[in-house]
Amino acid sequence: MNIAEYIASGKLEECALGHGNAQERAAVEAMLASHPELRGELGEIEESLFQYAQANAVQPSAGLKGRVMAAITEEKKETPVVALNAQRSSRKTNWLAAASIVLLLGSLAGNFMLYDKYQNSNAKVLALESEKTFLATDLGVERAKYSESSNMLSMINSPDTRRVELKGLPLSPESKAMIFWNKESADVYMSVASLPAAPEGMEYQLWAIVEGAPVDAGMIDLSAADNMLRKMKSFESAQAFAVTLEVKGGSSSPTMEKMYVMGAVPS
Amino acid sequence: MHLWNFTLTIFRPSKALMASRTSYTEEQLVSTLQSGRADQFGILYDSFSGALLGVIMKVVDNRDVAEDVLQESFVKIWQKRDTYDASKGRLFTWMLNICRNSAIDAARSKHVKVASKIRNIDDNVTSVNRKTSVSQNEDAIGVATIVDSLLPEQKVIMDLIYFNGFTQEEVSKELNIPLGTVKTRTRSALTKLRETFKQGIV
Repeated sequence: MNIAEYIASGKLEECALGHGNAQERAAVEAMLASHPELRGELGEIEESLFQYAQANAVQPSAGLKGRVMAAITEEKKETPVVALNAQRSSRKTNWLAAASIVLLLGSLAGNFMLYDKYQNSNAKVLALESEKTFLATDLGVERAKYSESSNMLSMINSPDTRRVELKGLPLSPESKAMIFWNKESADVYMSVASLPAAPEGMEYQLWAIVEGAPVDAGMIDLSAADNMLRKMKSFESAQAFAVTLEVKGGSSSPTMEKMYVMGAVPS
Repeated sequence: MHLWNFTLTIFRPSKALMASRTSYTEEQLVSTLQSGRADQFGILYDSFSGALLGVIMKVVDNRDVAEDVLQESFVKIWQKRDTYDASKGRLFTWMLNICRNSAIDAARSKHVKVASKIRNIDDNVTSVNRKTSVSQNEDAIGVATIVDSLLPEQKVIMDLIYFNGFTQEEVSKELNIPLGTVKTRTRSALTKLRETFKQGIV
């Protein structure tokens, strides 16, 4: 097909009118590329079409140009580059925000767990401390008891200690008591093996017989008698010991008819 | 009337034809578009708004709607300015396609009656003449000659194809004319337009 035939085919006119499918348009473009003289021909067709449009022109209202220019200027402000950047940075911000929230939640959960553990540990420490204090007190008590017991034991085993057995008298033949008396230290300890419970308002009282006369050696509190040995008043010399039942608080002289046990110090 | 216009065209050739775009060449207009300078866009508006509104008004028969479409189309032209490829055709052809598509969309969405589609030949001819006489100033008397240079049946086909974007097949169905006849008339109309145009610039 030569140029004249191609021009006569009407393909250029169809192209100028925007007709034909993509394939046909591509074919025309290929022809235009290889035959530059066709371009002038197409330009002429387009120019005549433009003139035809001009001949049908309708002048727009006076205000329309201003509106169009305002719309263009408005459009210009939002340049695509800025829009893209804004979008990208906002996407980045979104990521950062999401990451921050995740980290914050993680941190909160971590803190909560740690705080919980801390509370537990704190409670344990307090419990241990109070237990330790309790044990220390206990230990002090036990030590004191041990010290007392070992003192008593060493006192009892001392060669200077005399054992005085107090035997039941006719009022209460079953009753028994024991006195440990150290002549060196003058300490007197008493152990009650068996005595009837003291009636209300009454109390047992120990007496030391010194030079034939009874001397008050202390009250015997049976209710608190968990210790084997009770420390009584000290005596440097005594010939015998005896227990009588007296009014609570004790008497200045023994009630002889209420004597339960008695024993003489062996010489 | 016809003869009078024709005579005027011969004696006052290209002045009127080129009146609306005397100061700018195609290249200048293209570089104005591609410069991306909003303040220069008025040049394109001044050069093409009348012709484009004429096209739009062939599709939407309501002036307010048509002006809205024109404004919207100029914004699209501005937005799509980087996609225009001068090697594929004239700037006006590209702009016209944008306007025509916008006008067809508007006509569909706004249920505006698509102008001229249901008109008979005589109506269409009067319509074109009326619009032309309304819109043209005395400088454009010669332009009217181009329209008048076409036979009425050529004009109808040109309007449907060029302004309304009909394919030749659609025109054939619309006007109930054989496709071959439509093609012949299109060709003859374009040839006639070119001849008239050439006479004008001689």
